[in-house]
Amino acid sequence: MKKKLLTFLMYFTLIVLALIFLLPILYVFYNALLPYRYVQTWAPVSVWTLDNFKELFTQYPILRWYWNTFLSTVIVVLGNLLFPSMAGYALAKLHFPGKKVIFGCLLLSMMVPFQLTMIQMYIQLAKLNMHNTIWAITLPFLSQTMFLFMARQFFFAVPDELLEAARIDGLSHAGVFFRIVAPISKPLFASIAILNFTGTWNSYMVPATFINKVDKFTLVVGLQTVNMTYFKKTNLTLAGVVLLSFPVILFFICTQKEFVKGAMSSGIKA
Amino acid sequence: MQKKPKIKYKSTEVLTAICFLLPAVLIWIYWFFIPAAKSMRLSFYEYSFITPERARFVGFDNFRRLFTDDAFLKALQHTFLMVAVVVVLIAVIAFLAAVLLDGKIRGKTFFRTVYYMPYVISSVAVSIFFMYFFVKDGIGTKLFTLFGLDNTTWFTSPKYALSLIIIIYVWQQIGFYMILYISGLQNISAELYEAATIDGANRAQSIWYITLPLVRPTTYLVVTLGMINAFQIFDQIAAISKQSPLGSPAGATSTVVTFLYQQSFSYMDMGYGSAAAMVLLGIIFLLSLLRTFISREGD
Repeated sequence: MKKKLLTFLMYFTLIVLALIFLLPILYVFYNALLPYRYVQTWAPVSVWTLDNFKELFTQYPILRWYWNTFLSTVIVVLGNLLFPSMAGYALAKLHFPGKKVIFGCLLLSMMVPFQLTMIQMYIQLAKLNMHNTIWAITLPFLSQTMFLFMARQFFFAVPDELLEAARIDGLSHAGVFFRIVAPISKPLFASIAILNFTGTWNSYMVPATFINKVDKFTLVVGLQTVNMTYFKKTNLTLAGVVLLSFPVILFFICTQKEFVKGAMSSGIKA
Repeated sequence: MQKKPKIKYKSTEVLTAICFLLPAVLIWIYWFFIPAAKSMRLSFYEYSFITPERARFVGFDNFRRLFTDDAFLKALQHTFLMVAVVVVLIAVIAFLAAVLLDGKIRGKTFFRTVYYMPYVISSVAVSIFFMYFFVKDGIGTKLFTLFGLDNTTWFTSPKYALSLIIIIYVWQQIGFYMILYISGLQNISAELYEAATIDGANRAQSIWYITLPLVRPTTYLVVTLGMINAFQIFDQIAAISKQSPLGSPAGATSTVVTFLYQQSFSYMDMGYGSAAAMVLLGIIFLLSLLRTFISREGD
């Protein structure tokens, strides 16, 4: 009897928690589909409409923003699949002088708040005449130290015998990495791609600071402009929220297993 | 004195290592190290982006000015309050959720997915829909009036705005830290719990005496990461401030980060902004040292 009560309580808590996380999201999708006068009421399916989305598309260069967001995300993710994993491999498996110094510097740099570097980053970008271009939000972020540590941690687990065997078979060190290690490291690449995709897609402070031309905006920055202008029009603003979040949520649901693995491996690093 | 045996490096291997490290290290040097070093230097200068030719060395003046600047002291206070509340809430809720999901549960994947979902949504988007829940007569506001809070729009109320930031942030971040705890819990062997049950321990006791001490490394990780991240909260504050100056209403949500951002990018007083960023770095560095010290004591 007592055990049953405990089980009931457990599921009850789990479900309440699930509702706390789920209901706000459903609320957003629901209201984004409503004409203004039905907002925050129970409306029959027959009045649901896509007008809010149409209005946003006619008032703002949404497709342009999608393209900017997509392009910058792809560039950053490609960079982070390549550079940090190569460097992580060198730190994990290759022998060379100065390894500890490099590792220590990288580790210490993780502690520095981004805002400290951001001011100078902006000045540097402005000097290169790159502010207000896609390079401002991609170039500085092509190799993120967090992923370097994830990669290093991952490659430690690759057995040395495998690498030696490949070396004996005549592969160069680079060959071993690209032909033998990379193909068996899909979980690592999946984790990096997933974490980096959402991180870049959603990043706000960097594009909001480095870019101030409307046609160069990313979606997040664009949405914040919609929010500033149309906060009173709940349905319109929430439609903007949907446009921004839908691709990420869809992506997340499709890849959620790898997602969880990725989050776990990012935790192992410390 | 003993001499270390010299390791012989193979030149091809060293060459490959250099090539592999080069892109990452160059990016790190150009986009992290140089900006960081320059910012540190800049914190001793009076410098404006618009009039760089008028830059001049002022020693510790920026720091002296900071600690007599009421706006900064208020921001510092808000930051500490926010970080403390956020870290405690996140650690406690994430731990409990992970413990609940650790047992034999139906729909484990479903619950895990749902709890993690907010983490993938843009923090600006999340802030926007939470603003709707916490307007006057909004769902969230009504819920909290049950606990005696006022029925008012939270993001324009100096009294409640900071709490709203904390709610938004915790709601969104819990899932991530829960996953960290779940992976930590997986390292605890089931036999320990069985032994405890045989010895007559109830569920609460075994959580307190077995789980909690054994996930301590994860707790350290959660607290450190949570702290470093919470010190840098920005998006939520920017979202709820809308067109008003950052940290609105009436500076109630100003933090060290919004302070330095405003000094640097609104007032173009970049030397002063850099000094505030240095203070932030100092705080994070000291707290990390303290944490390392505590975790060494414990082991």
